[in-house]
Amino acid sequence: MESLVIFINSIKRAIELIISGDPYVLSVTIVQLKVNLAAVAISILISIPLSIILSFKEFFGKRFILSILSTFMSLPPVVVGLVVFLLLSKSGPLGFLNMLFTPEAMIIAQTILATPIISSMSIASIKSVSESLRDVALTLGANRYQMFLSILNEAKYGILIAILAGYGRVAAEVGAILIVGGNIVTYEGISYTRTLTTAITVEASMGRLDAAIAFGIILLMISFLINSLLILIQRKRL
Amino acid sequence: MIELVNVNKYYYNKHVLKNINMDIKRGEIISILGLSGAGKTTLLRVINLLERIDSGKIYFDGNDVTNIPEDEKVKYRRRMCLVFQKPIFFSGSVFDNIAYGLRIRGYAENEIRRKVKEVLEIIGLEGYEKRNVKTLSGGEAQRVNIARALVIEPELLLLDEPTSNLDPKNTEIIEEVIRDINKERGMTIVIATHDQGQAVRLSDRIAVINNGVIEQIGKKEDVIYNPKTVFVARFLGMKNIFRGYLSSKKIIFEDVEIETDFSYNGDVYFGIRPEDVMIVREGKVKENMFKVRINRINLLNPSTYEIEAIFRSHKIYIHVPRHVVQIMKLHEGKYINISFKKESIRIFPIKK
Repeated sequence: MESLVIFINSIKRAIELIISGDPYVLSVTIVQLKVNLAAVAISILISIPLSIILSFKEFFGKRFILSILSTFMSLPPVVVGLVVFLLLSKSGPLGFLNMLFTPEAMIIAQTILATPIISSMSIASIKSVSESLRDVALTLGANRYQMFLSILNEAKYGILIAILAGYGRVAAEVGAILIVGGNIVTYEGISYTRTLTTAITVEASMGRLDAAIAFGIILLMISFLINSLLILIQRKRL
Repeated sequence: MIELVNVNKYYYNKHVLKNINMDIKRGEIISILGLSGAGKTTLLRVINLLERIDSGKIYFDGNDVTNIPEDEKVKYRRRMCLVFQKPIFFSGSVFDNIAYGLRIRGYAENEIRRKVKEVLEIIGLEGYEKRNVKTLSGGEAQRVNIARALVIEPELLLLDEPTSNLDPKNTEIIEEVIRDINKERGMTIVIATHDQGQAVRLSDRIAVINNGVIEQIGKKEDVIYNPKTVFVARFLGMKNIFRGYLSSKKIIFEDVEIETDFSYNGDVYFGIRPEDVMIVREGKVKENMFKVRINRINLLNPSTYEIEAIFRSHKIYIHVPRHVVQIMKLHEGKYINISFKKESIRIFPIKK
């Protein structure tokens, strides 16, 4: 009974924290969004050209790259975190960049996590459209460039879903950013490399349930938003 | 217009087109007739420059287009259009799909609207512009599929099984459109079909393809009445084909002799079209008259009966007008005399 009261009070305070615009909560949310969005944006910049090349060009080693991409779809985030940590640490090959424990390091780690998903799913989507419509476009007189555009246009919903899936992966991720970001908060109590997910692990272990729940609620709201978008896109496609 | 010289095409290890020699003349309708898997679709794709060939040459108006670079191919491809057997559309409206070929050729929007409207009238789908392609019935989809090609006004239209899986009404509409655009606009048309009736109805010339080989190509009357191979003969309705031995102008078949005009000596297949077999009264004719027993009588179409008769355990098919069956009181089990002229016999020597 007592624990239930504590739980309900925690939820109450969590909602108060969100509504009041607590600077700590706000800063954590902003870091989360900043890192996730940047990682997905960079992944898109890599994935889209990569999927176009891998879908339309034939070259030696293509199948190898494709199989690497699909294997990397299920990379464990902690392992990626560890690899990026080793690369960026003082004695590592990229240590001179001084990037360890910065948001940039987190963005790098999450980009590595999102790119295989976005690429593989985009390629699958382009392939399913391309097999049937490539020749239709060509026989109707399209040149190569026009054919690419027509197929990308047909595959756009599939690519959008790939991007959202990539976002979903990085938004829910803790392991990699915890290692390379360090979960740092400034003396003023403002997040530097602390995200919603890493914050929950810290707050919960310190017994600050209200904050943990507040972060959980915000995270859920973001997931809900992404899922609604997904459903909307899929419905429009049907 | 198009000339294929010794074209060979493999898919992995399968030899799908074998030494194809074929020409397409400007303004004609030519059918590529064959069973599914014979290589019809591949042949159309080769003509449309969608497929690389392993050897041979392709000429378009005398220009060698066999191994030209891709952007050169686009130029030639834009003068023709292949309508695939299965209608596959870009998502969107009927208008967007038909407009596609015009848009990529850079036509102005108002010109596009006018042309799409015009072509929809031709195929009998006025006012379908805004319909989503996903809501079309099978027949409508195939008509839009064809309209998408017609709107470009290609010099050469390639149709792959344009009416397979369609009901008779849609088939009739599409065949009518094919005939009209050929006659009125002089569009050259190649139709791949497995339907010999359609090939006969529509085309000026027929190319019969079997296992990747063109067995015969020529005017349709020639292919129908003077088949060069047993396959062609069977495919175009020569149902009576038997094996015999030909010597001194007589075919020895079972225990009888059949008079012919051929001076070949050796084993042969010989054939007679069912409509060339006549039912005669005894004593009226002397040459090539045989007594057979009627096994079955089937109505083939509203005006013709097909009679299946038995001669020494062989089935012989006879097509007769409806009234003949009534006048001669033909029935199953009855013995009749049949006869055929020397000129209606075709032979196919069996090479050892």
